[in-house]
Amino acid sequence: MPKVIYQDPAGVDHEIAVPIGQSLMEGAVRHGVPGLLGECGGNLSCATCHVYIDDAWRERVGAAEAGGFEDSMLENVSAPRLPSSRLSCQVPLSAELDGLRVRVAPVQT
Amino acid sequence: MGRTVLPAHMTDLLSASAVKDPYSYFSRYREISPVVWNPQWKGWIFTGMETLREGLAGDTMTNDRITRFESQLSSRAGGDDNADIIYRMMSQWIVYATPPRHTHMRRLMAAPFGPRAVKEQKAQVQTVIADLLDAVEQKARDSSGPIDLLREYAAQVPARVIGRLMGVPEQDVPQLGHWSEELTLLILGALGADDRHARAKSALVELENYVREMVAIRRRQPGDDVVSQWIMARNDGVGLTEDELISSCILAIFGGHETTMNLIANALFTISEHPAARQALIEGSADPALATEEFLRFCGPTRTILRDVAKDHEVAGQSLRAGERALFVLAAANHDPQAFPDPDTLKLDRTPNRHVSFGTGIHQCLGAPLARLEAQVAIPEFLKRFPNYRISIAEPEWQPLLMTRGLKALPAMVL
Repeated sequence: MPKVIYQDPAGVDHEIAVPIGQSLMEGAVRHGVPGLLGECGGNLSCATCHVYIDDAWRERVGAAEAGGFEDSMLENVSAPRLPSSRLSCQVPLSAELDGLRVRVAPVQT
Repeated sequence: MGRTVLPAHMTDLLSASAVKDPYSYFSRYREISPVVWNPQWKGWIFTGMETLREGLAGDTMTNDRITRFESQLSSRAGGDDNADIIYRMMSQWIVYATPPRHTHMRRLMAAPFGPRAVKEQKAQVQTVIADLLDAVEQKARDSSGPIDLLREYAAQVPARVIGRLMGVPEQDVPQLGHWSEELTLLILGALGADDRHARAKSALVELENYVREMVAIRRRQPGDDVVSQWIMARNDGVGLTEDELISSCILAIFGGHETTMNLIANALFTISEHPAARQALIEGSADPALATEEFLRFCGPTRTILRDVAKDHEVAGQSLRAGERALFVLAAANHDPQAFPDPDTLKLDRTPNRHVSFGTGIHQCLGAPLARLEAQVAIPEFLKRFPNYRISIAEPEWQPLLMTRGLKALPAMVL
């Protein structure tokens, strides 16, 4: 099962095994990683599951499709939007993402 | 698999104890099963956080309940006229829509209400609340008796803020609050909960006319307000229809009114009963954002929300059938000991605090960021302005409503 390292807003790393196909958001909230709300349950409706993908992983994860709805929701996240920003409910885990490092955004609301 | 049925003595969802303290009341349901059949209400009651989240965020439930309303409305709303007007408006509401129409509408409506867009309104919200606190202080000085914080403060906050956001002229704002309250009565009345629906029907007609005029003005002269943004929004080249626009504006005015009002008033009442929390807010040592999340969890304004079962499925050892109705008790999930340590303790710095006061799933509250901002300003600023406020009745009464946790009044001496 791929492992993801989530750095929470306090700087603490949480290493979580997330099943292939589950989203980055779900992996975090199921294990109580602090700082991620995912209030709408993964429906691209709330912009409260904002993470920054570590530079080393950005190419493998990919960016939100330009002009798509995740892209426009990212314009509305509370913490600054960076090129590494993703809404974690839109990132499904795959085998090639084993070891993925992400930083949970400092605020979601 | 089958049904766990509640015993008859614990099925009255609006018993005195259920109204006074829904947290204790529904914890008894949860102890039997987090999903349980209520034979009096004739539906499933969800009180555990995990199964409540799954039910609301998955595909086992639907909020397409407006057709069920239609027959209820016709039989109760004082004749076909009322039913027709109410039904026409409510049937356009995004809350009852299903994908793909729902997805389309949500994408069109989302931008002005997202966390960042709302944050940009912070200065405006602070001004509105500062003015309101001045008005409350003036009323207190002019009067020898208590002020009803529910009507004079808590109700005013969402009305004035949404008015500003929608570009409603200052002098028209008090009317918005009035129409919102009447609309609540109208809908509750049409569903059999109140008798004042006949009088309230004219409020809906008036509100609709007002909104129609406002939309027409903005089409001619767009601004940066919510109405203009909604007029101009496009998803795959398609915008909101006129009916969707009108009913969405009405929903925006009405939808945040009772809820935000009750959040603020419930918090002010709760604070009066928790001296340590009160002190932290007065001193400014309580983080407003964390404190607001805790008030949402501990004494939030939405007691329950409704759904219909969309498909046959099993959950918590129960067999649910398509078409049955389900009551999701947000208040209960927010006090579930499996979700929150010491759930019945108010902790203003509680973190994490993943409550469900705004629901979850595709219908999760669009107004959540705005409600949060309003409460984050309105509650601490009230404490700083009136640190010595005292509630002037021994035991404020709660409204006997299924879906709402709100007080009848909150009279207080503020100075």
